[in-house]
Amino acid sequence: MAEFWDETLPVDMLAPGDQPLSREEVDLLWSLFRAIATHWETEKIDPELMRSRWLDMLEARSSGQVDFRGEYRHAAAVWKVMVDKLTEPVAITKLFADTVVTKEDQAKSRIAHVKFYVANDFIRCFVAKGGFRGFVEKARNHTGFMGGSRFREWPPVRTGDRR
Amino acid sequence: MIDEDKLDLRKIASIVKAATTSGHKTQFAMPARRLAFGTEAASLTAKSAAAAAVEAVLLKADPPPPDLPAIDAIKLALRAALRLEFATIPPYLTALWSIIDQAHPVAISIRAIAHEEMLHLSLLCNLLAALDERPSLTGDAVPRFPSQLPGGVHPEIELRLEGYGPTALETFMEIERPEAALPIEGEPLETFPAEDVTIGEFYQELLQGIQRVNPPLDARRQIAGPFTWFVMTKLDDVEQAIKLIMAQGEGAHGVPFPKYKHHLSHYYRFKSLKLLTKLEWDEDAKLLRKKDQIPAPAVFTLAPPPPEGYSQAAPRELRTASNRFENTYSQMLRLLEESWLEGGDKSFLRALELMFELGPLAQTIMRIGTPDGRGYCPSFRYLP
Amino acid sequence: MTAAYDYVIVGSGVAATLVCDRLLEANPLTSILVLEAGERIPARDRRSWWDLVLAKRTPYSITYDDDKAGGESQESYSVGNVLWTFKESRVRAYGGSTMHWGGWSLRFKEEDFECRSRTGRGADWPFGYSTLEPWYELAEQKLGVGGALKDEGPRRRWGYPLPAYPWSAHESELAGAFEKHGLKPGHMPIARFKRCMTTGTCKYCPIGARYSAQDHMDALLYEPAHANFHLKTGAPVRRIVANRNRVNGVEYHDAMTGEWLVAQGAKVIVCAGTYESAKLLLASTSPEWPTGLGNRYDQVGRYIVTHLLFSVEGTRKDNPQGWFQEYDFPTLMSRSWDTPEKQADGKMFVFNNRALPKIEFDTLMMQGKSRKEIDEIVKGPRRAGLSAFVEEFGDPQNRLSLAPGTGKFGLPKTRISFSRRNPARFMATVTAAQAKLAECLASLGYERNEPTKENPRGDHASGVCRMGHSPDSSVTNGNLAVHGIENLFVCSNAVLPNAAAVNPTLTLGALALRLGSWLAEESR
Repeated sequence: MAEFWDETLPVDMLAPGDQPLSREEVDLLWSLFRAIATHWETEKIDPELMRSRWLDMLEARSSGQVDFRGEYRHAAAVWKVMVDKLTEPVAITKLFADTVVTKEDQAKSRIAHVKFYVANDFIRCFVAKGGFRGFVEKARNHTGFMGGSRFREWPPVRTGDRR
Repeated sequence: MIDEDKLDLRKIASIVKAATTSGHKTQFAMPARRLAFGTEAASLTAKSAAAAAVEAVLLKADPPPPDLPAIDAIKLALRAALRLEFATIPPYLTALWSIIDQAHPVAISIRAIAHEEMLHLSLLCNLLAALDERPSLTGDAVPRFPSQLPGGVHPEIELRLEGYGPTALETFMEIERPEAALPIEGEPLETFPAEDVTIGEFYQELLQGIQRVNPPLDARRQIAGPFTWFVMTKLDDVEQAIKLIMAQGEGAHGVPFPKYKHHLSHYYRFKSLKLLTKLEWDEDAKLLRKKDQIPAPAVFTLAPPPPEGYSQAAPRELRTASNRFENTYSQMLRLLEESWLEGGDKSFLRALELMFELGPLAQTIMRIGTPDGRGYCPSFRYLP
Repeated sequence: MTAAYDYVIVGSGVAATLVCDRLLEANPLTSILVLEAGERIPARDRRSWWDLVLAKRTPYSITYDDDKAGGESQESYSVGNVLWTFKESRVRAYGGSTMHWGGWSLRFKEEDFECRSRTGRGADWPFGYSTLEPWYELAEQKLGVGGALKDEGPRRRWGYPLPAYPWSAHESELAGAFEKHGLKPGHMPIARFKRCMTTGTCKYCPIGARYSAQDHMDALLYEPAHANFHLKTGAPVRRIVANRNRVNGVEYHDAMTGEWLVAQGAKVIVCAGTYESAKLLLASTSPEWPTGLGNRYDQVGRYIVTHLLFSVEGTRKDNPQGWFQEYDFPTLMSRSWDTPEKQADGKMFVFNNRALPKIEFDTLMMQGKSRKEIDEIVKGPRRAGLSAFVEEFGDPQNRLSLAPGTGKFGLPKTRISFSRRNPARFMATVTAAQAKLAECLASLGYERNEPTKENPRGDHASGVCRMGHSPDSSVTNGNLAVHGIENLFVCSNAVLPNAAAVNPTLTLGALALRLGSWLAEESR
């Protein structure tokens, strides 16, 4: 019998439903986001610093024509099951190392849905909001990151001898 | 209307000490506090009714102060700290914007200081939000000028909105003054008069109070982003934050900078501007060495703004510009206040945009000539 | 029928906005009706911004020309020996193409105004650089242009309103290579207000730091003193109503009533971008103007040119510093090939390819690469690129015309016929320039990648209603008035007699400010 997360699902996005995400669901999703930093060993970058941005993303994507709430809710539930059954470190490896879903037509199971519709976006958010520094410590800026203005003491990008 | 402003920092510090060491229950009947988790913005009040009742007694009574629940004492102290940090920002910004070339090295230095004050402000707001209280940045919380520094600190200073110049620099240096001076090459060693109420002691007491109580810190409503790099989820974070606030102003123990020697603390930056010379810390000789000269900036010379704003008698051009400035400032403060709610990021970005509009609006006002050949000064009034 | 306005303006982009800015500054009660075929795309919308960050989608991409060949919905057609692409080249919405532009704001140079006299190619402007100079200054202030005074460019009285951005570390290295290869490195003059926080999502700035005509037009629209200033979206204009040598107004589709109405105006200004400006004149036929308004000598639509963008890329074996692009715009540029000496063969404007070097952390992570693998990739091969615009000259055989049928937003379809008389000669110039740029890269260890073929793109299309003294070789005069008509003006890139080597928007801005001020002065 297939594990819960391996159960098949149609590739289409899950319906959003009427309810906003609950406190518990947001907390579960936050732990999923934090797992990105853990898996890629970017400890130096405190994910807490990205929390308000991440919340903004969650809120923005939870409405409109393409509403991600259904996927978010589903991802929270699947993640909880995975962590409970596998322990967090194993769940993290399973989701971020072993599961690769880069095209919509590959999102055929629960875990694939989580990866494609939720985790991939969380990764993009993580990188853009400061995670890039976890890989290149001296980097100052990245698309989507507010590096700062020209008027500050320190330039908003890495500079060289010539200015 | 209770004026928390009247409480001096020393008194507040002793309240904090008493409340966090004795653990006494309050003498007053308090309504049950609702947990703010997951509740709507409306349920968050700027001050609990209990704290307001206590303050009423404090203002009438003489020492010793009555007991307060520890967490309320801490919030009282945080609100006082917030008032203090907030009060320095408009004067720093006025001085900054009075420099005609906003990319001038002096402007860049003052801007760095103003940004750090904003960081202090947002750290304190984050801390209040971490303790379930919504920080207040509008209405009566908005500092008015001219005034004294909140909390009875440096009572001899009159905090004014004025252009960059020797008197402004002296005022700023007094505000940021550390307890003991560090030697500067070729300058006589300064001695500072002892203060009755020091900011440093107050923050120390506040930090110790928080450490004794060790309250849970909620990350949900804190912000991290431009001007606000810090979110506090554990006690260590709070210690880091408060030490940062102190060190950025005065310097860390025995050195004129908080962390990196190229980022001097505010006092020594202002000192450097006063001497028009870059200063660099020599760790071996334990003194500040003079380096390159800094050119003096061209500035707008400003006439002080009337506290009640510009009246109908003022030139129309000025009233229009001043109106725009005050409206933008007020709207920005409202948006900032909203930022410390869950998902407040979007309000914060809108506030940021308005923040950047203030500089050009201020300089527009400064360019309008007074009858005696100076420029007008923005008034930083809050318009509801 | 609607009441008569002082001005009816077609289009709501940067040209319309700056004209209105001047008119309303002179007299806040000027009555103006702006008609925009497209819709309002909300700015600073959080969802739209996140869609850009997460999915690289922009909210205005639906307004792009549908140029997919063969479909019923195809809106634009290219014929001739050079394929002209329409891909993503203009935004049809409130605010126009400044919704998606990069903000590069350079002045044309003195010699650009005298192209024909100097080279025998292209056309002369009916006035010189010194006429436009004060308007360039004002345009730079309005758009918030930051630059460095000491960089190459035409003469200027004062510095830029804002400072330039420092070169990134990678560009600093490229600048050194430039110097060794006869290119003086400069800083791209760029329209970013002081509040720019280098977020890098310039295509949809979350804090309105990159100039957008939408923000500016909104400020004008919501100013209470501008009591007679009106704007309608969803209001395509299908013809200008003329009577002999005067126009009376325009026929537009009113979204509210669903009817075609006439807006009467004492003056009509067409600010509809290069394509629509010409097409509107061509469509406005009448017994007196059988081939279109102002088209007695069959000049409308001719001389179409744009800037060809060509690039070189190279790869070096390692990236020890872990560089990747940190700005969303190039700050390194050079105008050393934008000189009188180069004019006869087409001047060139060189700039860094801002998309390189590139490390796509998120893609690598989504592919399941480990930390160790990513670290290796970061240190691994590094790409760099240099690009340039090359100037081409208006040729009467190249023309823009109406294609049958109506496309999106009720606008007529577009047909462009573009051929080069001597394609071999042209491509030889381009190839030689590419080789030189490749040399710059090679000197830094970048081995050249396979070259890509370029096609001209419509972003900088111009020339189709060009200015000139004589109606038999131009459409508008030095005041942007259509020859032979008292009260009709065109203010879009269509009026540029030649395209020079740099982006046209600042020049268009200067022309718009000059027109608005002149009209305000005339009406006193």
